[in-house]
Amino acid sequence: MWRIFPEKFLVVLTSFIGITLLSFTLIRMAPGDPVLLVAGERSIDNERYQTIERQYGFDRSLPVQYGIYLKRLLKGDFGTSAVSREPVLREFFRLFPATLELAFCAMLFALCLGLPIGILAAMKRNSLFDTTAMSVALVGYSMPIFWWGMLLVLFFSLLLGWTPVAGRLDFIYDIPPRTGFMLIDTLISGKPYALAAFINALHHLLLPAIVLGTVPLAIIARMTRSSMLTVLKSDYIRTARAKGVSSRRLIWIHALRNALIPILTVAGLQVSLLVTGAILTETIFAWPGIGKWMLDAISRRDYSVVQGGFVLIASSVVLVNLAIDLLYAWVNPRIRRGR
Amino acid sequence: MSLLHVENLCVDYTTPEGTVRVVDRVSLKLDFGEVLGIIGESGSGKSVLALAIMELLSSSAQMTADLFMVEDQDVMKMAPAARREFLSSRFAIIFQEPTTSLNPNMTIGRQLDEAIRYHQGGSRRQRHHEAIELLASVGLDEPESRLRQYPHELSGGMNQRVMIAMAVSCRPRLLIADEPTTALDVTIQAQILDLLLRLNRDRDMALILITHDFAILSETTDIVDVMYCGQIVESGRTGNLLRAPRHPYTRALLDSVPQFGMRHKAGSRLFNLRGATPPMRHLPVGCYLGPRCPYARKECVETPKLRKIKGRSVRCHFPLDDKDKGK
Repeated sequence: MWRIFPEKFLVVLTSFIGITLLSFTLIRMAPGDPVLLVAGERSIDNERYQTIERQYGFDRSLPVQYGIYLKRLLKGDFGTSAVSREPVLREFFRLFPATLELAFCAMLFALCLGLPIGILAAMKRNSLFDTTAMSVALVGYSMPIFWWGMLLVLFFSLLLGWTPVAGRLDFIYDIPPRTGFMLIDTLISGKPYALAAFINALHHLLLPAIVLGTVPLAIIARMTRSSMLTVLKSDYIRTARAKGVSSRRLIWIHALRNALIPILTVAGLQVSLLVTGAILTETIFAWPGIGKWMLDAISRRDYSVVQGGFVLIASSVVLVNLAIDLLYAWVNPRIRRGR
Repeated sequence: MSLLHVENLCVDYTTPEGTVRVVDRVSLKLDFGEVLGIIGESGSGKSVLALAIMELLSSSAQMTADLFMVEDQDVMKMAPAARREFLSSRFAIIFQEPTTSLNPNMTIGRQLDEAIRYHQGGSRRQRHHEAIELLASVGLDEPESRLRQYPHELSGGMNQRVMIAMAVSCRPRLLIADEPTTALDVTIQAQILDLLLRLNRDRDMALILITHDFAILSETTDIVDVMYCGQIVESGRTGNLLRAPRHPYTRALLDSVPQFGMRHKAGSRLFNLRGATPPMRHLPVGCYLGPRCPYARKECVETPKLRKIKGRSVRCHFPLDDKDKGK
């Protein structure tokens, strides 16, 4: 598994350079004086103007500016939000757990439902279940998230009143943020209502996770089905059947592990999609995560946040893909043991 | 009591265009320890026949037979699950592509262990020793370290040995080898055939060798069945059949084998059966070979029956005699 690490590290490094170049260009492509954009104000006094100009090196050549930019990033300086006056990095880390929690639950939802549906559809190929599940998956895949999210809110929150409309927790609970993950924070809060708060947080999480997980669910279900069908047709499955292997073992031990390899790749690609999805989902449900943060920053022209957030989000997607690659090597001996 | 007795076995595939008969009324009788060869072109139904005997057909295929007896037990009367269990404990099969026939995600040891556990049981230690012994008996060196390797780390020939070890782990009465050497180098081919014949002798295990190569059959088998378009067209003892084929198709197959050095003889060319194998869904009327047969006459639009001629079965209206030297 670690054999592939140096090569993957190089990929990560290249991606990082690409990301920073893009974000570096972004601020210089935006209309207007970059100094004013960074400052986030229309009129600033001369002294502050020159401080920012020197700090960011706007008076130097472009390559030097990029060097300065990289150096600042490596030091952990992602700029300061023009609106909140808070360092971008600190804001990011405060909001990131909320998105992570949401994305994790969405992915869990997609995998826990998508894998069994795909496997069952492959086993009962062309049955009523198969055609129904695959048609529904196609609909789920083509559904605009914002519309689907509002539909669910309309039905479950407003009409039935089963789930809250927005937010992460009811205001009656006072939970100190320690990890940033609401499900964990409620449990370790030590408050007498810890369990009730946990269930409340779960309630809040339910709809956003379903909305965000719908597209990945559809893709994973369809991918699992086709991947399983390919594997079930393979020679080694025939060999296993000839050995007298039970059909349950055939599916779960022989077929699934091989079928998982392409599924894992697809699931990994979904992670970057989750971020885009998170922007929409978090906006619908007023979820205080980085998706909503980015959208707000864009509408407020808070360029430092847009730029810094972009680098941080893109880097985390790259890191998740690295983790998926390592996982991929772990399930696939042909990569793990060289070829 | 014969080991395997099949009468009029048919395999039909359901396709969107209708039912296609891929194996047509094939009858086989195999005694313990006997070696049977089945020869035919690609698409003649020989592999499907093997899968049918092993109960490994895909769900779009239906197998029917007037009689399917294994050691005097009627297989057709068994429920599907019981039938598979029964057959997998008595028969084993190896395939053309050894490397894709092994699970790429499991070590050799795990796959071998699975077969041993299903058919023999025993403790982990016992099974481990059995696995090492099996690998050694099929001629793999360093069997202990092979157990920890994956199929992609072994060569094709080695993987075929692993397949054979897995197959014989259930102590089968019959091993079906479906083109076991086609994907291997020539030098390895001979080794694998030798191994199969040794196991046939030492373990008193019958062998069905499916191939399209007469050279392999002549060296290894007792009886040969020639298949064309899903039917057996000729069947007999190997030596007789090769020396004096009675069916024009057998004759054509034999004549199309290049002889060593024949290129240098004046005027001699490889025989070439005209036309191509007809598709299974558009078979000719009467004898399936009819349109391609150099001996065909107008009677050949009638479907020929499999007839016994001097200890040989031939499906032809005008079987050749010993003097016929081909056209």
